[in-house]
Amino acid sequence: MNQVVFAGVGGQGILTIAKILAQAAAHAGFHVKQAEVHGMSQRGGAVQANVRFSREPVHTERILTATADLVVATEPLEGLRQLPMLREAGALVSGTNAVMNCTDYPPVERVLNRLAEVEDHVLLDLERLARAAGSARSLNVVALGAASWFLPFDPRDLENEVEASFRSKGPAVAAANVRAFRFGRNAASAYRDAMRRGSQRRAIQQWIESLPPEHLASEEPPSAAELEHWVTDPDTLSGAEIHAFEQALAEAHRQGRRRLLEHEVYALVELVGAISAPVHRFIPANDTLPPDELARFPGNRLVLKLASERIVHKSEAGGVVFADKTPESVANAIRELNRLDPGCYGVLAVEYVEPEYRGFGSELFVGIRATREFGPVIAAGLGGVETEYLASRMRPGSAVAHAVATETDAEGFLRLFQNTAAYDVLAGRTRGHHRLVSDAELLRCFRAFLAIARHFCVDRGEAAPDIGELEVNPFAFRHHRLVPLDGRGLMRTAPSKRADRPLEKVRRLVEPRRIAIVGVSSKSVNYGRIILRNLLRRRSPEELLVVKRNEEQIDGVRCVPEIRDLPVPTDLLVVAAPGTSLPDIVEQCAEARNVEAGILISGGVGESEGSQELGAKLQEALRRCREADGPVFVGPNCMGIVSRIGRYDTFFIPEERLPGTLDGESTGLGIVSQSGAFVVGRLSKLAHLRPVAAFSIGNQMDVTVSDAMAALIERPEVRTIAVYVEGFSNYDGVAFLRTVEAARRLGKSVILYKAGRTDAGQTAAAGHTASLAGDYDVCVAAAARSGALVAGTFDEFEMLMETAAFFDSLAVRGESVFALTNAGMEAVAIADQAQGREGLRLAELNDGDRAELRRILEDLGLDRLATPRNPLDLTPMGDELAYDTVAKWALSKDCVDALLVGCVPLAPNLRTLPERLQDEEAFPNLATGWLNVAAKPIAFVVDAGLRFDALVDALRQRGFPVFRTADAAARVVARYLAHRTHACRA
Amino acid sequence: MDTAELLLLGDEAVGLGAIHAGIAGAFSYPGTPATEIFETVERLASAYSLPIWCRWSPNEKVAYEEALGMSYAGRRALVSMKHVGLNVAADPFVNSALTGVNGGLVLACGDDPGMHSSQNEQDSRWLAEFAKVPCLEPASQQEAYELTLEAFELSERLGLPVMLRLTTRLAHTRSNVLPRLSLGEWPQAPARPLPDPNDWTLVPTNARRRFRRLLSLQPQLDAWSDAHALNALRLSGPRGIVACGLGWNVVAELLPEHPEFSWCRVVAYPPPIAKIRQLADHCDELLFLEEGYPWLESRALGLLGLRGKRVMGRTTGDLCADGELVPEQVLSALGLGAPSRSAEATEAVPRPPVLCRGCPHADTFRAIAEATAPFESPGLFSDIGCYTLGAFPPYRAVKSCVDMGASIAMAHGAARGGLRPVLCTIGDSTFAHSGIGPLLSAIQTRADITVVILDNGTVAMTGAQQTLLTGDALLRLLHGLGAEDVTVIEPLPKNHSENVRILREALERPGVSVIVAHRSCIHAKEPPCGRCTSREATPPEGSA
Repeated sequence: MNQVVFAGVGGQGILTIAKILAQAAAHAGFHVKQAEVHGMSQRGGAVQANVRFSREPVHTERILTATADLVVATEPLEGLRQLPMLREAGALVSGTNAVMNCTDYPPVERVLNRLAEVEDHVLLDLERLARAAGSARSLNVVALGAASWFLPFDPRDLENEVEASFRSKGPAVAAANVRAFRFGRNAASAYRDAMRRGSQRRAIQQWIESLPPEHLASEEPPSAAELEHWVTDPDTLSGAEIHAFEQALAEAHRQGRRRLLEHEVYALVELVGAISAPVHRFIPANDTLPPDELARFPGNRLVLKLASERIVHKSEAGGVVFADKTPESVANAIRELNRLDPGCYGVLAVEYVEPEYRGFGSELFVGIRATREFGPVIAAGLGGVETEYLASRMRPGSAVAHAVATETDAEGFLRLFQNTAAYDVLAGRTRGHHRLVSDAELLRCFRAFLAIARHFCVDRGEAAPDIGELEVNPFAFRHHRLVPLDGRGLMRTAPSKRADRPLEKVRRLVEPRRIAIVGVSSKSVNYGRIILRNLLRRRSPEELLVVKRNEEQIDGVRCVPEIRDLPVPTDLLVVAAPGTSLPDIVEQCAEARNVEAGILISGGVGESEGSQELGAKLQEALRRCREADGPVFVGPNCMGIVSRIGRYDTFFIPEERLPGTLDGESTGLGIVSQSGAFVVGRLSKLAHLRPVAAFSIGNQMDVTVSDAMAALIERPEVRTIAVYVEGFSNYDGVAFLRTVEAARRLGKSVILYKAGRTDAGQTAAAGHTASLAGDYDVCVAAAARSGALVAGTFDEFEMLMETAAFFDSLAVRGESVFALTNAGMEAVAIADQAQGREGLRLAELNDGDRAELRRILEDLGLDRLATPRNPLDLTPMGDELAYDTVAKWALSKDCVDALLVGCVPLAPNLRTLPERLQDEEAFPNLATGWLNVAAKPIAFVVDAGLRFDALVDALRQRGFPVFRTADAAARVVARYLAHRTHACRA
Repeated sequence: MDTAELLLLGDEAVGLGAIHAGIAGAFSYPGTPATEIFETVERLASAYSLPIWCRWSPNEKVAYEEALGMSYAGRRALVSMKHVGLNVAADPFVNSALTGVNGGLVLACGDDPGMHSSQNEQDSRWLAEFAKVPCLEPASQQEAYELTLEAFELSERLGLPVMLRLTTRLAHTRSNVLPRLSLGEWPQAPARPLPDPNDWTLVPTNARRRFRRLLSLQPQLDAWSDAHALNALRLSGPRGIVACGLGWNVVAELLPEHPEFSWCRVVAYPPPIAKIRQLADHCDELLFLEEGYPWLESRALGLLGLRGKRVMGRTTGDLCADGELVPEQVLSALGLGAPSRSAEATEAVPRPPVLCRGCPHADTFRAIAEATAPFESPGLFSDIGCYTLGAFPPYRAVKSCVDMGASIAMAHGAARGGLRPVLCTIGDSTFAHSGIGPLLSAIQTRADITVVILDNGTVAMTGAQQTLLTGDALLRLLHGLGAEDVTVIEPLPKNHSENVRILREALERPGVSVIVAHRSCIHAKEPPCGRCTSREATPPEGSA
């Protein structure tokens, strides 16, 4: 048995739609009873109709209380009146347009809220939909269309019934009603879809109102499969929402605006359930607020805000006015605002929201924006006027949480947000405060912003304009909910995304078999010639080729006249030719397809003024090359690659200036740097780190930072990658983050130094490798979250590189460090670093440990000078024997995960001068022996001058990181151990 | 021809049944819930150009008499009205049982239990019994159609008028009906020969003879009723149900799950006494389900009741004594319970009917309210129509509403009782229905009253049916009645103060002053579709 109650006010056409349904049921072979009750009602009284239909005979006319499957009301109070008729899990369709022709009509919003308590409900502005469909009188048929989702009929049959029912009134009336039916059906579909994902009722209604008629008039109601598409998971936007967004953006675009107006921002974010906007209504320029609209505003005050392209900081310019809720007062305020900027878009009237709490942290901002490097980014933190000040004055991550939208979910971002001071205030964690907003509400908000960001803050190809920024700042709080007080949005066209480079070709760069070089001078020692000579140090001439016309051989290496003459496959082509020839060379490679990978050394190709044209030409050549499945190219404007496993070096540095770049056993370190100078500097300074490979990748016109990382990280020889980057190429930041994740899963480490963090830095970076500098904070926060070790300074970067290079082959079980030193100052410095959440963890000695240590000190005769504790100060009386005994004891303890050894080498009893370093008892040999006790990380501090550099070198040669101050050692070791213990655990 | 299944209101099924019975005329005065019976005939006759006479009559008495005349002429006739309309037509109705009929005569009477649109909920079965004529009470739209056909057969077979009793739920519920003929078919029946005029001339000698004839038919009626297929009996368990009319539907819905109930269904009256006795003998418990008054229940109990039986019904308090039969109550009386939701404190404030925006009555009432404001307790008598809503705020210009035409007569009586000033309001259609006589009396006896005739040119409340007496025709009639003090006003806001002045002066003048407030109903102007919309907002009444 199907039971439907129709209700409305006399004159709305309730009986007509009840009859249409009854007809449809009869035509479908059902037994039907459709009862009408209209009481003593002239127009304006309550009207109600019951429809019962079944395959079995239907006897009674009336529907029993609490058994109706569906209530369809064209007026909210009449819907409320019939609610008791509805069974458990029954559905409700109601109009929101109140007909207030009786006394004591309850507040409409309250009535609507009661109706919305029905889980499966649809509340629509039937009148507006009907008007849009062609006739306000068709509101009953709009309701029927909405109700069609709950009825066991093919909607086309109902539509035919509608048509038949109005046919006698002429084709125009019939057509308007068929349209009304579709509007109702499609609007209800959109409504239910949005409800399912937790959107705000009012937002959905406003959104539906804004939908263009074509959308609602669609002839074919969505099929089940299409519907499936409409109902998406909460982390992505539904087709309907995307459509609504695109409409809004297109409309603003059509008006020649880049800015989205406040109410448009509200409409968009409310739509996806992000917020509950206060009651608001946009009043176009030179329009007024009709009294019935005014009556919808709660309270007795309104805020009126100017929406203008010219005046952005509204408050300062007098663009925000408070008005009493009277038609005169509001009209005056609107006039005044319109006068302020006659060219304005209009005025936004907003309900006055009395904040529940004022003061520090009482406001929140949430925003998304499109970044070039990372695509969509979300940020949230303390809002209002405090935002910028706090962001600049507080520790990173404390004022503002930000994350890359594609790399996080709402839960993850909430966890991040929970670390901010903003959250402490919002959650009532600070003294004297109560909770202002629930985590669930924050989650809902973040989820919605993230969904918008992922879809609209990226390159969508033809679908532009995209969203550049969308921000609500600030939110206030009311009843534990977020209430936006201002919002802004900007449109732009997102930077385009480049096709992925094939990894198998990038791999050739690490270990190429056959290498060719172009740009070698046979007559002089140009860069090409230096590179060729460097190659020949590790390669036989047979493994090499030179592309050179009219030469048989150079330096014993065979020449071929043209690129197309290179044999297949040539794994690597080093291009040392001038920048102007690069586009041509790339095109030749694309055509010949005999080369797998290339390195473009030359600069002056787009990164400097005057070379943009050449740069664009090269870009285009590279694009075609990718399309033709040609080689991948590193550069331009780079030094290329030094690879120990590939036995080659394209750096154009003569041997005498950078000796031994390919000598010795490598550590597990790989380096990827955008700056060639940076690599060369590190190779020179940190020669003892002996990297597996170092990539200088230059302008990243083709191969990017993340490509190079991906090729390195998969190599078993590589355990750590150090990355120096000034700017990622478009969206490569995201690929970088994913590579960091991949490294983490493999138990490998990524150390990052991100340059270009300030405006000045960005400009400097632009001067070097084209304008690729990006957003520092986002990058650093996201990289750290993905598991990268982020260095803030070059010093720290180098120290982390050294620590990682020497420790990455050791198992790290934990973070507890035992520190011993011969200087009280160092013990204090190390202890100081052991403060706070992210400080050094000192191994905790129990009573037994301390007793053992006391005995050891007694045996060493140091018990009167030294106290058995951690850090242990052996005092200048401590000799190598004391170090050796204590170190071995400490390394044998389970509670000790690593050893930090400070020695002020000036102590006369230590063998720290260059001539004693070979002694068995000297630290280098001694410490090597300690590893036999337990293969745990051991680091040294040598806080002394040039005289002791030999000691430093000797220790490093044995694989021990050496720091030149105790506090730096404690800090860096602590960071590395924490990283290995937590982030890096596969 | 196409005899496809149709979806019809109970009223429409009766109208179609009457056409398929070959009627030559339909007669009626609008009144909820019976209005659509006549309208169906009118619509189909016009659509298929059937030679069926269809005109609204000025009142139910006239309608009945016109139908009776057509019967005399040997043709079948349908007369329809609401229950209180039968009070007006009671005289010809009761007497037609004595004259008998020639062509079949069926009275379709719409009762309104629950008083959705009426001033009482009297049960017409009492009048059928009173007149000693058979009555058929269908429970479904299909039965309404079938029983209409049967009623004509029966009427001619017995030579008696037959009552078809409908109630609001049946009349205003749409359901599947499979007719025997197609929509436009009309089996023309040749006129029967004229009757013996002695039978139709109820002078006492004839009347006594005819009454004896009526009495002699009664055993025949009882036998017919006991044998009627729809007066069905099923004996099962010791709990019995007697279900009349729509009461049957509750039982029918119940039986598949509760075959243990014994039952007797009553469709044809006089009731099937033998069957009811059988059921009573078989059962320990009897539940009477009747839409309307407990007619059968009180007959079965008589003065002394049914000894040894547990009887439940409207007289025993197990069911409400008034209002419609509520399925939930029936289930609860049977101890079966009904699904319910926790009673929600609903904010659904009542939405009383109101005069339409722009209604001429509203302007008239505003003027009356203002004109009578200076008086402490003016007599403000009114009548039946939309304008009864003038009783409610903001007007409060109506203090009585009793029956069709009562306004003028009551005003007259009150004035004779010393009440001053006395004003009454009556619509043009109600005036034509029953107001002419009272006005004639007041004029001719020089009563001191003011009569305001609200001439909107239509029977607005029942869906803007045609009215017989409006505009100039009305003024001419007033003149003919001897009214000398007649003023026509146009009830519009712009004329408000002028209208107040006219009313106040009229109140102050001695004698009968008549004011015709003439302005068309806002719905009367509308094209045909206006009718449909106003029909759904069907009116309180239309008949006395």
